[in-house]
Amino acid sequence: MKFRIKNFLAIGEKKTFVEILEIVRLAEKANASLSGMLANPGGSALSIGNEDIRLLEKKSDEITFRIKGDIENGAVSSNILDNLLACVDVADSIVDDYYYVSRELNRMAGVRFDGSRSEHTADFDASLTKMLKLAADALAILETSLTSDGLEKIHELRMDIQRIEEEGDNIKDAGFDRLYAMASEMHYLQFTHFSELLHKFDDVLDACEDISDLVVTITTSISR
Amino acid sequence: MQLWELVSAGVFLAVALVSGNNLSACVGTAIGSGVVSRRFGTALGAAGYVTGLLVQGPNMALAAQALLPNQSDFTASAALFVTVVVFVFGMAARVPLSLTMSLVGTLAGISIAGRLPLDHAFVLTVVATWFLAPVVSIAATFFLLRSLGAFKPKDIWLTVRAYKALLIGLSFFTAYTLGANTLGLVVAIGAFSPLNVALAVSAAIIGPVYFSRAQLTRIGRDFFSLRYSNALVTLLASTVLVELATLFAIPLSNTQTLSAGVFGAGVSYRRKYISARSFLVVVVGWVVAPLLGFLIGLIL
Repeated sequence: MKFRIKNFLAIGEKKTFVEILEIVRLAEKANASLSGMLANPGGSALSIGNEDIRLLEKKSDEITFRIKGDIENGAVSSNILDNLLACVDVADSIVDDYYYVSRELNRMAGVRFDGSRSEHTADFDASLTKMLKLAADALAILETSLTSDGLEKIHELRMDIQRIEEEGDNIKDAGFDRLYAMASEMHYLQFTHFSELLHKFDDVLDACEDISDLVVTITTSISR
Repeated sequence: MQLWELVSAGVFLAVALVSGNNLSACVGTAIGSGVVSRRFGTALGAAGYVTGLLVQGPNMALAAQALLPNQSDFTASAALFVTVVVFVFGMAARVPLSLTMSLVGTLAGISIAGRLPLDHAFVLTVVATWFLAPVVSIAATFFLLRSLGAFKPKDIWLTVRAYKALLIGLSFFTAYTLGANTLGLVVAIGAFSPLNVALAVSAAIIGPVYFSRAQLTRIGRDFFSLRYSNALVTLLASTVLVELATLFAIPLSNTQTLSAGVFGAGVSYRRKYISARSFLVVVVGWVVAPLLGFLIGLIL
């Protein structure tokens, strides 16, 4: 029925945040699966993890499609429409990135290198695991931010995510320094593999920061 | 066709056009910000028009009497049709010409041309109000928004909920003041007879349904894509000013106070993103509408 006060008490913006939260939770699950894949790189753990993340990514796409429809037809101020849509897209991109990484891990597991070349992986895996842990922390903070009702609290949480992102940047930079130092001893496939993973994990942290920025912009815009 | 029939037709036409065209000014913010659906907004606006017209509209008979003394069916129908023509010309040229302003200009022109005892003091008061009202509207929105900018809500969602509730109420009251002031003046030109009131009420319902769609889409999405606080303060300033004018039976255009309010909201920010050209076009319309009406009134 169109003749109504649209979600007047439900608040379109809050409803959208709750829906974005669903994607963030999927990203947290994907993060956990990926951590498991990195911890157990052999056997069936990789393919099982890959399949789990594929399903999460599919679900995330469905939710994204649904939320975008809700935003465009819902009780949402038109001046924040673009920011809300961007928020949804960025959240979905996190799950997409995890799926991309899981497929990359799965593919790489099938490649066999000689002894000297496989020594380096443990070192890089440790860096990647640290970045995944940081992403898990950032996603948890994002979850709190999306359910918070205080502007100051949201600003504080944004600062926390920014600090985590900077920490991730340092790990990524150190990882690249090491990667380039070892480049001559590595197979080109290993080089591009670790380079790609470092970039993708950094993208996830950047996305968390972007979402927290957008949450600040949106909440400030509608409440002041 | 009898002259009184022409007057009634003029009342119907003018009310339908102005109520349709101005719906966006009244409920555009609520629709644009997604608080109400287009259909609900249209019903809300029409309800506001009718209530305002019936409750305070008869006040404007004083203004009609001062601007067009000893009115006859001929002068009333001429004034109404000239106003409709000026208004339609403005719509076609996409220049926002106020019906209130062109109507007042036409009435003054007809009175002077017909050597009727025009109340010059009243005309001066009206003109002074037209100069003063936008300035007050700009100042009010500027200071209110600056004060609101310092406000830090403890609960965002409670604040948003309050904004939305107030926006619905203010949308209704903006339509109410337009019904009382502009529509009241239109009906007063033709006399507050049961037939004219009935025609005006039906036009105030038909107008928003049939003549508002394009304006609502354009203004609701573009012009009024404001923050809730901006929309709220702009509507509040406009509604209070037009209501005050109605109490003193002074014709005042809602779109004039509203446009000025939007400008005030724009300049209230430290970083200002204002389309000065758009605002200038609106201001030119404030000068052109009464002058055009006045000149045509003189020729008649």
